Amino acid sequence: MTRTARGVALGGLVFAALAWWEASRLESWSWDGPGPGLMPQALSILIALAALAVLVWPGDPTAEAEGGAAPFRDRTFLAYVLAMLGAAAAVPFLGFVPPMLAATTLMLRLGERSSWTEALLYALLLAAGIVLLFGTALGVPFPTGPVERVLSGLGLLRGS
Amino acid sequence: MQRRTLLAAGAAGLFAPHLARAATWPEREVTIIVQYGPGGSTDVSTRAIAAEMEKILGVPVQIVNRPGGQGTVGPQQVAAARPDGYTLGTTGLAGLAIAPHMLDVPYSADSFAFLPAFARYLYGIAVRAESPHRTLADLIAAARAKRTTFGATGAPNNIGMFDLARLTGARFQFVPFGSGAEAVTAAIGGHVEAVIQNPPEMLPALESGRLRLLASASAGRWKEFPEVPTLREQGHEVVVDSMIGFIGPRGIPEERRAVLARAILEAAQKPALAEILGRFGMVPSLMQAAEFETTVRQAHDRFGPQLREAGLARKR
Amino acid sequence: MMDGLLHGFAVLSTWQNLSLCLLGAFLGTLVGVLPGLGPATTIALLLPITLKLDPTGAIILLAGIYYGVAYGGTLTSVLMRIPGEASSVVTCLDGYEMARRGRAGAALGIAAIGSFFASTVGILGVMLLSPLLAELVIAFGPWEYAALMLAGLSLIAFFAASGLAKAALMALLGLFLGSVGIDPIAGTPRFTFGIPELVDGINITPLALGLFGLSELLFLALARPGKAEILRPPNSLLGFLPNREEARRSVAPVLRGSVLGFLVGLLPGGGAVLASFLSYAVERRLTRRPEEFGRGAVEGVAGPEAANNSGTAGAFIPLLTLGIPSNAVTALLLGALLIHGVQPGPMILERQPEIYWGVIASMYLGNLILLVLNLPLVGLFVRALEIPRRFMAAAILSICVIGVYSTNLATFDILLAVGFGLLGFALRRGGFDLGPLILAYVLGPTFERSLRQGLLIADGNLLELADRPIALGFILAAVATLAGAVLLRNRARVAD
Repeated sequence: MTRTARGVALGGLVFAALAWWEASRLESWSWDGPGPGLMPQALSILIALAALAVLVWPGDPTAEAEGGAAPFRDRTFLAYVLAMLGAAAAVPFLGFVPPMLAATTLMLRLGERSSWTEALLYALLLAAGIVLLFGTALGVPFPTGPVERVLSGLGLLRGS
Repeated sequence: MQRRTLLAAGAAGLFAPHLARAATWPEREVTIIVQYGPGGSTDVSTRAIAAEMEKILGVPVQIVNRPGGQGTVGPQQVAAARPDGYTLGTTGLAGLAIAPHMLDVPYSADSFAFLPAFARYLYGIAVRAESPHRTLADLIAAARAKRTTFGATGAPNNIGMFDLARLTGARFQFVPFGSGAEAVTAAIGGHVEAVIQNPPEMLPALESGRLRLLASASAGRWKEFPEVPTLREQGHEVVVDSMIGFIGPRGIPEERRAVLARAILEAAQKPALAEILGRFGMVPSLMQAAEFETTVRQAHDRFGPQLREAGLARKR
Repeated sequence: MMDGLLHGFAVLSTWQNLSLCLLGAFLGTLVGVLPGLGPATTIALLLPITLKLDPTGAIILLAGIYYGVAYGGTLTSVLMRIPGEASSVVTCLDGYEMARRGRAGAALGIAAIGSFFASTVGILGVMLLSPLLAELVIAFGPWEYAALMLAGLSLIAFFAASGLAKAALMALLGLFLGSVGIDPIAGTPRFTFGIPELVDGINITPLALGLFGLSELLFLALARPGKAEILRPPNSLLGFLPNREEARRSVAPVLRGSVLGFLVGLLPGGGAVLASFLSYAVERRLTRRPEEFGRGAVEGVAGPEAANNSGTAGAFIPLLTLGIPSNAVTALLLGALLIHGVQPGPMILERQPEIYWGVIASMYLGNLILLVLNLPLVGLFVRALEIPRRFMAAAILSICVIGVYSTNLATFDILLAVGFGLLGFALRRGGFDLGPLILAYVLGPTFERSLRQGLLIADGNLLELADRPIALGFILAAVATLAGAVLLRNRARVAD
């Protein structure tokens, strides 16, 4: 745990530096009171100080880190991370359905060692269920993509 | 003679489909992008006028909400849309004349084809009932002597007060609030001495007597308070104005623009629309496209220096 | 007043209004369960449909969605650590831990019963105290808000179980995240880097869903494969309900949460989210078992769940009696009222009493329906834990993605949520407590804005505070809380 805590603290220091760089471009004081920059500037300094404090006192060294010793070697973990990142990257361009079909299949096939059949079948069922529940029944707009355009034409999704 | 007629008929036959198509544009659904969220005054008014436009144009008119960025996300999408006349949007002064001074927006007034405007917001200046100021003149006199705070959500409300301050030598301090309701509540509680906002936010308190309306800041009086004069009538040449109008991406073919403008103008005169507008404290107000464009451009140029002077615009 | 209420029940007793009440409560629960989909989105989507209804019916339906949400959000928070609703984020802290110890049913049961009790208190408050409370709303100006937020922030001192430095870092990060967006006073953008989706700030949905839900997904991956059996469903039917000790320990938190939530919900800018956070912080301050917080303390579920329900009821007061909406959802309800030609405000009791009393009566009935709906279903919901992990995880990801998107229709939010998911994983692994982060994120912006408003009003003259007893009171409370926290730590260290 302490290793990760120290890692987070280092990240905090970097973050504070970047925050200071951006915040210093804002006005600290406008003529009738604190300006937009005052609080962010103060915060970046304080964050740096707190991060340093965490480096010094990262917590109980005997406590085991949650998630085990080496998450980055765990297949399921990596599959899930990949699925999440892939979804975030692909949805703005391809809409909801294709990226999530891929993500679900990835999670099941790679992460959980399911068969192709199970992975693909479940991915289809899940996507269909979500489209019907959120899109058709509740009328929530979906991110635009090729499949969404088709579904919208069929009247299953609201145009977005 | 027969041959000429035949030729003429043939020529007419060639052109007829084109003429017929032009006469029946639009052929499919028109989308209007509203720059604020559902249920608000802009959204509800636009839906009301869209319902009338549907009947006139003969095609469905769909409303899509794209709120955010203080009224700039909607116009952004309109500017980037295909200029085929099927995608339009609404805007007021906020997205085109005010926000561009505070944020970086990827559009300007040149990015749009303007269409008519159909509604105007009303504004009013009020103080709490317990305030010693019984008339606008009292408020101004007090503000000349001592700095007087007023609450508002931002422009154009605050600019109106700045104008008034400049003309009368009064000292008004703007205190920004996140919503009209918060500004009005602060005024009722006496935390700020005056408030300048729209009727729906102020009417409940005005009617129950907790707020006193000192002036209508619009060009005309409020229908609910016909005895309260406007700023102009009280001798101050200040009008606070904002409207809702339609825009489209630059480059819409002129005939299509004309069709849309005609439909908007006709729809804007329907009594059902006036009824809805009244509920949200607005008045129907027709502005031809050219007039709307000029108003927006002039407001943009006028607000810039005033906002900068008040420390509200981004540094250039 | 009793005739008013009877009149309200009479209004309610048409088939149309009864079914609208039921539909609203049901939809509200569903919306609350589905992460990301919030009451604001749903009400907005339904507004056009309600135009076909009469005003009373429309408001009964929409109000039902609003308070129904407060029940549904608990479900996914407890069972999957995914906040279904912003106001259920706090339940993710201890409710989920209770589930991990096999007390999922108890958590859900306490939440349902506590919520019902709190709603009743809230509705009673609305009925009996409206005029008085309207005065309270008006008495709160920028200084009072700033002081209240300060008092709330000071409660972070009680989240320092993981270490003062770590809690401070989390709180400061939360404050920073809250400051992204347009500066509330100067109107200029802060930390938006030209990204239009950031102009309105970082929305709580991608933040909460990412930090809690998506990070939990990653921990699920690392758990032993098979069923999501880190959550052990109890073996007998009785295990689905709270046991005697849990019930006993919940009584005071529910009472406190009801009152606190109601008062906080009253204030414009308050609402259920703030109410649940403050209740959690208060319970943490008052508990005799601080080491249990964050590990499944039932007080950490009972208090906030009660608070968010009575907060929802409290938000109706400024709406109905002053025409002032406290938050985004009541603003939508106000719009709905205006569309139907109803002008809320002090005159509503004279002009359209059937709307006022009809809504209140529907709140009683709606909450009863929700209790009846939710309690027996607890067993059913807990069974959902038996779904194999691989199916559950994929479903969670997909639902979170569409849920996050639905808030602002911004795909950028999905990127944010995933980013926060990874951050949440790192933070939890490093032993950081997310409570201070979220509390600071929620309270910080209002604190900064109110403070600067106050300074503008007073022209920098802080002595004006001397005239403001309410503000001074909260500031004293903040100081006392901080001092108390420091002293307690010192005493504990000496005792070691």
